[in-house]
Amino acid sequence: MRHFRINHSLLLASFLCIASTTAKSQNTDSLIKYVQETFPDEKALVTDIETTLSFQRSSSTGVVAATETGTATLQSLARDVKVIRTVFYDQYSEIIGHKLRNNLESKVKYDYMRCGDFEIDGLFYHDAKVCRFLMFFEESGEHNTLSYDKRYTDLRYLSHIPLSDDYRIARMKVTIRVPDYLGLKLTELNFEGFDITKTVSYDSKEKLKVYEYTAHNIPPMEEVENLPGYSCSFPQILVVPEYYVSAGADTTNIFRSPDDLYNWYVTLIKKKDITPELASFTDELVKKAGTDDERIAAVLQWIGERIRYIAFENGTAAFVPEDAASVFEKRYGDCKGMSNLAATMLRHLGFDARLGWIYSGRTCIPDSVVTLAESNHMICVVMRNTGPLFLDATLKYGVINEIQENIQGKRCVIENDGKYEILRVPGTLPLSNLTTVNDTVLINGNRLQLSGNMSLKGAQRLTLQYWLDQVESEEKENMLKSLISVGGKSVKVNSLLTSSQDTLSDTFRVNYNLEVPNALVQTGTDILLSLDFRNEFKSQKIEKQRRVNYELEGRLLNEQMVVLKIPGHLKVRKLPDPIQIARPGYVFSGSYEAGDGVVRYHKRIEITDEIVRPDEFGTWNDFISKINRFYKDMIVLTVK
Amino acid sequence: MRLIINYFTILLLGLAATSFAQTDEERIKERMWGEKFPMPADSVKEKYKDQQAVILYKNEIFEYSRKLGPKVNNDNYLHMRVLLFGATAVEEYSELSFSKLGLSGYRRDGTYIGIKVIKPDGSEREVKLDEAVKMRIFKDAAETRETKSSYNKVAIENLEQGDIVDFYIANLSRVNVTNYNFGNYYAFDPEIVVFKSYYPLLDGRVSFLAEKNCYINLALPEGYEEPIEKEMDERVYYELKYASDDKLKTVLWDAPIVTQPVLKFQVVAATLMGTEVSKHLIGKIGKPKTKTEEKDFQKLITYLAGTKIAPTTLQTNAYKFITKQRHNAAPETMLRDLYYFTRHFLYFDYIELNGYRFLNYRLYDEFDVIRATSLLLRKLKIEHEVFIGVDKQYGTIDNTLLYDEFTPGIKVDTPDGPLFFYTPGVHTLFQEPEYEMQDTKIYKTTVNPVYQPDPVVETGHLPAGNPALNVQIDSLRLTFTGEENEVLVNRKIFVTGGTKEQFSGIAWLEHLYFMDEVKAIDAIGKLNSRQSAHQNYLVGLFTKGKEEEMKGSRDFAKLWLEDVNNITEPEDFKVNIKSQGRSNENPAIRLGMNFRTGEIVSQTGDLLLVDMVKLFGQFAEFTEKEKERSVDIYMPCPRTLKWYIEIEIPEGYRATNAEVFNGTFQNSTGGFECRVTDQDGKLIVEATKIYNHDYEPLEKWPELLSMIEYSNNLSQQKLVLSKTETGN
Repeated sequence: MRHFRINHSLLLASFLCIASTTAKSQNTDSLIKYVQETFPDEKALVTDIETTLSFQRSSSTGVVAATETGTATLQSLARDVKVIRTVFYDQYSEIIGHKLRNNLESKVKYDYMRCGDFEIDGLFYHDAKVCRFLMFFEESGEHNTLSYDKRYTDLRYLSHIPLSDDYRIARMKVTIRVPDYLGLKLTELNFEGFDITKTVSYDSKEKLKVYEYTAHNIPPMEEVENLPGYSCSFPQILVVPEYYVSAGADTTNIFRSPDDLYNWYVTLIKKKDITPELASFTDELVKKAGTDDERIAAVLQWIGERIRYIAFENGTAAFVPEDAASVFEKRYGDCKGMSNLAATMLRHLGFDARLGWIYSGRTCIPDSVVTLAESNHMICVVMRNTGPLFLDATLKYGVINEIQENIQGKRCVIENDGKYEILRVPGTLPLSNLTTVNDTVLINGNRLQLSGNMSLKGAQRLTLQYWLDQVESEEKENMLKSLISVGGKSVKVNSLLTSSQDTLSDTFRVNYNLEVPNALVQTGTDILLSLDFRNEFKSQKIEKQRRVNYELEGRLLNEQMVVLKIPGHLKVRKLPDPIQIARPGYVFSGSYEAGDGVVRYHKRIEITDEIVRPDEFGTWNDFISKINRFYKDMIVLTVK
Repeated sequence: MRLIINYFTILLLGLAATSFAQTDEERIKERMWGEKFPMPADSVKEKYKDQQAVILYKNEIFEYSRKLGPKVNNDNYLHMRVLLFGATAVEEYSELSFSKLGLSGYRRDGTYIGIKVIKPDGSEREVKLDEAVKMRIFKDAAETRETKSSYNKVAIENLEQGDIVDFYIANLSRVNVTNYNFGNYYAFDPEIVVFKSYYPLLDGRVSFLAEKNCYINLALPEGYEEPIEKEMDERVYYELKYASDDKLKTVLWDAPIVTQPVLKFQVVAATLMGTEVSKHLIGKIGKPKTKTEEKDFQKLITYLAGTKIAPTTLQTNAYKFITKQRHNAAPETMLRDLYYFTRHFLYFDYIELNGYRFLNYRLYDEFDVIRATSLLLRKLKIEHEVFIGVDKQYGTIDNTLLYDEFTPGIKVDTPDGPLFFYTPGVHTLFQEPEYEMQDTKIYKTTVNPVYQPDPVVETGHLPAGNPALNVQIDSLRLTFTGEENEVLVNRKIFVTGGTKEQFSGIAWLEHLYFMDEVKAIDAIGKLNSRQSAHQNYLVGLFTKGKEEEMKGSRDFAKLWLEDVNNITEPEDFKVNIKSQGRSNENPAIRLGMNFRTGEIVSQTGDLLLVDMVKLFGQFAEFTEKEKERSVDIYMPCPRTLKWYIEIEIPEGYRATNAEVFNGTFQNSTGGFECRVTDQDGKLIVEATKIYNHDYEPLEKWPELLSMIEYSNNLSQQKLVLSKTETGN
C-alpha cells in the first residue's frame, strides 16, 4: 500500500511537471506568435534565462567570493539568424566553464568562442573583457542554450544583475542566495511597467536568504534608439556587497558606507611633483595671461587643443589616473590622465586643483547606493573662494565658468588632503543651451529672401564646434549651410559669416543671407507662405510599442523670431492660429502677429527634461501631431 | 625515433621562418626609410596651410618576381609622408590598428609596418609597434591560444599639427601560378591606383616589376606619360610619377574610372612565353603593355569564333535542348529559346562537386558563354557575328587593356532586323541590350558555318539606347478618407528596361523568381530528369524563405517610399508584386503599393494643400557648388519617366491653382511636360520626363541642368483646394 502511494505521488508530481511545462510552452508559443506579428524585425527570442548568484566563504582566509551561474535558451524566429552572446569578465572575475548546446542537447555546429578586451566605439578597456559565443540558427524555430559559470574574486566588481537582454525575454528567473555572513544590499531599478515578481524566503538549513525574481516578456535592448543611460532604461537589480563576517566573527566592510568607496578612490591617486619640463612649459603657457581666469583658461584650452582624447583604459578598474608627465609627453590620454595633467599644471600655478570622480551622462542609480558604477568620468575641480570650478579637461572649446551639460547636478567626489569630500555640481536652466534665430524675410517673386542670424550657447555651441572640428574645410561650409537652411539643396546661400570655428566665446554666431525657391503658393489673388523651415521635432514621434524611456537630444531652449515684410500691394488675409503647449518636461509656443506692413512670427521651444517615459508617449505623440499641424499651417496674403 | 625527427624538423622550420622574418623586416625598413627626404619648404607649408593635410610623398611598388619553379612573389609596398595641418588629420593618424606583423611561420605571407613622426625641427621618432596595446582575442576563456582575429592597436605619441607622419606598409605573399585560373595560365586580380587623394598630393609614384613570364598591362589615365624604366637592385622597374592638388570627391552621375586619373593594371603569369594566354592581352615579358594593338582584338575575336576546343557542358546541353527538348521547334523562336535555356542553365542549374553544389555560372565567364553559343549557332548553320565592346563607364575599347572590362556578344541578322545576344543575367530578357555599351565602338567578325582559321576583324558600332524602351510609369490615385487631412494612396508602378534595377530589392524575390523560372523554362521545353531534379531542389530551397523575403520586400518598399517620396509613416502599407518582368511576353516589373497617410495634405484655414513633391517624388537636386560641374555626365540609360496622378477632390472643394502644373520644357538632353485636367470631380496630373541619352558631354550640362531645374520647380509646388461656394 505504501509502495502504491509513493508511486501515485510520483505520478502526480510527474503530471504537475508536465502540466507546468505545457503551460510554459503555451505561454512561450503565444508570445512567439505575438512577437512575430507585432515585432517582425525581431529575429530571436530568449525563451528562458536563469541566473543564480551564490557566495562562498574561504575556509582558510575567510574571504568571500561569488559564483554566477547562467543559462539562456534562445529560439530563432527567422532563418539564418546569427546571435552573438556576450559574457563579461575582468581581472577580478573569470569564466570558469561554458557549454553551448543545440535543440538536441548536443554540441552546436559552429562552436565559436572569442574572448578579449572589451571595445566600444574604438575605445577599449583592458580591465573589461568579454567572451563572445556564436549561436547560428539555420532555420526558424531552432534552439541553442548557453550555460556558463563565472566567479568573482573581488565582490566590489559585482555591481548589478540585468533583467533584460539584447533579445526579447519570454521568461527570466534570477536567484540570489545570500548567506547570513554576508551583508548584501539589493536595489530594484526600473521595475515599473514590467511584469516582474519577487519572492524572498529563508533556507534555515543552509542559513541563507533566497531572493527570486521572475520576469516575463521583457522587450529587447538591442537597436533601441534614443535610449537614456542603461541605468535609466531597463530593469535591473543593483547589488551592493556591504560587508562579510569571517569565520572568526571579524567583519570586513566592502561598501558598507560611502567611506569605503571614496577612501578607496583616494588611495588610487599618487600625487607626484611636477617635472621641470612640464613646470617650465606651464609657466611659458600662461606668460601672457593676466588674471586667474585667463591662466586657468589657457591651461584648459591648451589641453583641449593639443592633448588627444584616446582611451586606453589600462590599470586598476580604470580608476587610476595616468601620470601627468606621461600624458604631457605622449600628448594623449583618457579623462583621468587629462584631468591629472590639468590638475598638476594648475597646482603648479598655485591653484587648489583636485581630481574629481563623477558620472557623465544620464544615470538613475540612487545616491544612496554605493557602487563602482556611480562614477564613469574624472574631472578637475579648482577650489576657489568664489566656489569650485568644475573643469572637464576632455572638452574642446569649453569655457571655464560654464558647466558641461553632462555633469550638471551630479555628485562629485574630490580628493581632499588624503581624504575625500563630496560636492554637488550646480545644475543650470535649459537657458544655458540657448539657440536664438532672428530672421527678416522679403518676398522676391516666387522666392523668399531671408537674412538673419543665429547664435548658439552651451551644449548647442559645443556640439556644433565638435562637429565642425571633425570635418574637412569644404564640409564645414556645407554643415553650416545645412544648420541655417535646415537641409534642402535648393536653398541658395548668398552669404555666410560665422564665429571662428575654435572660438572660446560662450556664444557661436552665424550671420547669413539666403534664398528659398518655390516658397510661395499662388492661388487666385491669394499667396500662401511659411516662415519656419526648421520644424524642430517634426519627425520625433515615438513608436507605440516602445516600453522603455525615450531620451531627447538634451535640455534646450530655442527662440526663433522672424519678421516678414509684406510688399505694398499685399495684405494679410489669414494668419495661422497660435499654439501653446506646456507640459511637464517641455513647452512649445508659436504665434503670428500682423503689424505695420509686417508679420512677426515667434516660436519658443523649451525642453527641461530630456526623458519621455512610457506613460507619457501618448501625450508626446499628440504634441508632435499638434506642432506638425502648426508647422504646416501657412500665412495667407492677398492682393489689396 | 620518428617522433623526434618530426619535432626537430618543426623546430628547424620555425627557426628558418624566424630568421627569414628578421631579414625581411630589416631589408624592408632599409628599403623604405633608407633614403633621406628633405623637410618641406616654407612655401609648401604656406600654400597648403588651410588644408587638413598634404601628402608630401606617396610611393607604391608592385612586384611580381618569379623565383625558380612555379612560385611568384607578389609583394606590394606603400610608403607615405603626410604633413598634418588640421586637428582632424592629426586625429585620423593618431591611432593605428594592425593584425599580427611578420610572415606566418609556414608560408610566405604577411605584413610589415613602420611609422615614424618627424617634428618640424627635423627630429624623428619611430613608433615602437612592439609596444602596441594588444587586442588579444583568444580561442578560449583560459586564454591559451591566440586566434587570427587578434589585433593590436597603437596610439601615436606626441603627434601634433605641423608634424609629418612617415609610414610604410609592405604586404608580402607568394602564389603558385600553376594553380591556373585561366586555362593554362594564371592572372592576378586587376588593381586600380587613383592619382588623387583626399588631401593634395605633391609627389606620387607607382612602380612595377614583372619578372620572368610575368606580363603586365597598364591602362594609363589620359594625358599621362609612359612609365620610365628604372633599375634598382639589379632589377628593372617601370615607374610613373604624378601629383594632384585636386582632391577626390563624389559627384552624381559620374564614371570615376573615366573622369578621374585612374591607373588600372593586371599581371598575368604565363607558362611558355605567353603562347597559352588566350584571353588576356599581353605584351613583352616584364615590360608594361600600355597600348592596344589590332592583334589584341584579333586574338579575342579569334577566341570567340574558335572551334578548337572540346564542347563545354553548356554547349552540349544547349544543343540537346534546342534540337530535342523544345516543345515547339520553330526556327523563328530558336534564338529566344536558346537565350532562356542559357539563363536557366547558368543560374538555375548546378553541378555537384565533393558534396557541394555550385550554380553553373561560376564555371563560365562571358567569353566562354558567347563562344559556346557561337559554336552552337555554327553547328546549327546560322551565320552570325561575334563582337567585343566595352562599357562607357570603363572608357573606350581602343584604350582597354583589362580582360575583365571587355563584354562579348553575338549579332544575328534576321528578316525582322538584327538580334543581339549577350551573356544572360538572372533576370535579363532576350534582346535586352548591355545598357552601358549602347552607342559604342565594337570589334567584330562574321562567323560562317564553314570554319575560318583567321577571322577578319572589323570595327562596328552598337545602336544607341532609346528612352522609350526604359520606362517607369508611376500611377497614383488619391482619395480622401474623411480623417483629418488623410488620404488613401493607391499606387501602381510599371518599369521596363534599364530602370528595373532600382526595384530589384522589392520585386526580385528568390521564392518568386525561381517559380517564375520554372514556368518560363517549362513553357519552352521539357527538362530531362536530372535538370528537373535540380530545379525542384532549388525551388524547395528558396520557398522556405518566402515569409522573410516578403517582409524584406515590404521593408525595402517602405524605405524606397521614404527616400523617393519622403513619406515616412505610411499606415496599412501593402505591397503587391504583380509581375517580375522576366519574360519577353511580360517584360515589365509591375507593383502595387497601397497605404494611408496624413503627410501629403495639410490645411491652412479652409484651404487644403496637396504637397505634389510627395507624389512626384524628389528629383535630383544640386547645390550651387555641384552645379559647377567639371566632368562629363554618365547615367545608367536613356529613360522616360511618366506620372499619372489622380486626385479625387473632396466634396465642396475645387482646385484653384491647377494651372501652375501646366508646362513644357525641351532641349537636346530631354524634356519635361506636365498637363492637368479636371474629369468628373477628379483632378488628373499627367507628366513625362525624358532623359534622351545615357551620356552627355560636359558642355551639355547647362542644358541638362535647366531641364532638371524646370521639372523640379514645377513638381515641387503645392496644389490648393479651396472651398466652393456651396462648400462654404
